[in-house]
Amino acid sequence: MKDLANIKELTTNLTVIYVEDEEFFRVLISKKLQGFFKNLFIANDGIEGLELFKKNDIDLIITDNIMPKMSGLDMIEEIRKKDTKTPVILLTGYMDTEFLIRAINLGVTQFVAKPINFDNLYSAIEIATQRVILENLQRKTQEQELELFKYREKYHSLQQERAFKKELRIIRNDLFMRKIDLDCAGIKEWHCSHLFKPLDIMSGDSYLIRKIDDKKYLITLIDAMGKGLSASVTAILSTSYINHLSNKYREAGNFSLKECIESYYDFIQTELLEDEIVCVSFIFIDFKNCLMHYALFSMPPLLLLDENNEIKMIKSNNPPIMKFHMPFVIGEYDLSSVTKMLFYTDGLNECFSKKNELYADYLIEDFSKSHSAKELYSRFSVLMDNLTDDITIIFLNLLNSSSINRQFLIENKIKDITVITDEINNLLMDYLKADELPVFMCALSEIIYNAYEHGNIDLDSEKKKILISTDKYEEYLIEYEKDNKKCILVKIIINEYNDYTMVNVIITDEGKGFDVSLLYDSGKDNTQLSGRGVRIAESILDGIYYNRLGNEATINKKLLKGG
Amino acid sequence: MEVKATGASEVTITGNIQSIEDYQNIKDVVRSRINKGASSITIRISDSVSMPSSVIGFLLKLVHVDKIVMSILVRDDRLYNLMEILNLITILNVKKM
Repeated sequence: MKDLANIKELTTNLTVIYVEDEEFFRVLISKKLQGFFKNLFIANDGIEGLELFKKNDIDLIITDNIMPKMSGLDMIEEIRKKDTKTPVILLTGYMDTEFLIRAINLGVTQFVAKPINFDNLYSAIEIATQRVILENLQRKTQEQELELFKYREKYHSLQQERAFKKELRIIRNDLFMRKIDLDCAGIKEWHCSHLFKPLDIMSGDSYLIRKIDDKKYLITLIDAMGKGLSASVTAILSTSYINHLSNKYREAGNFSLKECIESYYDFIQTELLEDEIVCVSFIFIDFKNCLMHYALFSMPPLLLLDENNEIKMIKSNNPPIMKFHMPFVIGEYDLSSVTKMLFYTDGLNECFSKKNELYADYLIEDFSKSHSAKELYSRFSVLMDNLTDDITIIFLNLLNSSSINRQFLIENKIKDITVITDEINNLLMDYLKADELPVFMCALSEIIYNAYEHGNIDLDSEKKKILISTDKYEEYLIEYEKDNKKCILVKIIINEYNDYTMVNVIITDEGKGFDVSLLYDSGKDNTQLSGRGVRIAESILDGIYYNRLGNEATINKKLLKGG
Repeated sequence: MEVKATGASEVTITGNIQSIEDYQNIKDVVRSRINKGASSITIRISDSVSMPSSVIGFLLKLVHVDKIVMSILVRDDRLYNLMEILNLITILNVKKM
């Protein structure tokens, strides 16, 4: 006698069809199967059975074969057109070879001979049920594995995103959108632009540009050996430590490049694996005295362009930093005749195109023609179609002009801005093409309005947001203008060369300036009602550089001549 | 630049959007549609290559504060690319004409 309690434990969640044309057997067997299943549907023939199967989610079919309208096997044949898995128990008194072959081919899993022995029926149900349970379990496991995989992917992606944010947070650029004004007769200012293009989220490249005092900066480029997490950890450790040192030296007012490098060397040695190396460029520039001190540890050469258009290459003067301490040297270079400088990691010069051309063969020419990191990288991208390493570029360009083409004074009313920008528009018509001029003027207008708002009428982002959201912005401007006496000075410097024209515009307001570092994150929150002006200008121009206070901006745009 | 209402909830802008006057004109025309009952606005920009931040700020205020359903159709690729750089495609529902 079968242990029915055990079988019922297995079958209790199943939905079953029982198909039988003879009423006597239909009533008897249905009664015997009471309490076994969650749902038991009864059909009188194959057609009813098929309909019930289509309408419900069936786990098991128990069917007679010989029935009017549609036999059990014919019903199963129809079911199998859409479903190949649901187990079938066939109750039949008729078995020959041909019948058996057909039944087996149709996936009938259990046969119970008539007249029915109920122990045999219960066994057949038990075996068929175990199979259903096993298949359900497999499907559920697969679904769970997929969910876990998706969760891990999402978690991994989130971790990577956070790690990259952290990496960018650690990188400090005190010259972000800033210029170094050399405070002399005429206009002489250094513009610093950069490009940081890691191949993966966790990068073996890193860089720092740290202000030591008003005109002295420490520039560090780091290229840790290898790729992936290990290189990234070394790069981040290095960046964090040098940041820490820079802060200490700045506070103490006693920066020494030699001590800085020694301290870093002592620190990083203990963290390196035995076969690990780090390549670093330490570059300390005193802009006021036009002097550069450098220690390059197996990094690509520094490229400098002088006022005679001659390129100077300063090669590495030290081997890479390793676990084993080696003495190092610091070089010195006079920058008084230098007009451009390029510092970079080997992802740039050692890049091969798909046609096997090495970018180092083009770098010097591209450097001499470029005026910013953005421009250099766009020249690089034309030739190189196959990035294989992280790229870091720091580009310093000197704007040196003894004369100004025109200057304009915008007085204190907002309508004066329109009058003056129209005049500037007319002046620039001779230099910019018809489709370039409106775009350039849009960028210039943004910077002028920025100077007006933040500088002359002292309107910060928070206040502006409130005024816009309460529709009181124009009212505020009109009210403030009544007493405002501050002006904006716009100087236009146009330098013409053989195949291009360089337009530089310096916009100076009389306000107390604004915090340029706020621009670092500006525009990322697209629910902010303001803060996009400088980003719009940045996307159009080659460069925007603010002075220390933030009340003077130099913008530039290179315009190619010809059609 | 010229801006005019071309439907109960549609505004068409031709020419370059550049100055503070342009911003004020756009604001006046768009506001006139909203004051007449429009809860959604379609702005067709047929040839401007740029959009000043003052206009962007105004449009964002309409979306976030006034809850206007916004749709912007631009023709010039440069303007579309600018909107993409500033991460405004979704929030202002910007599409290419």
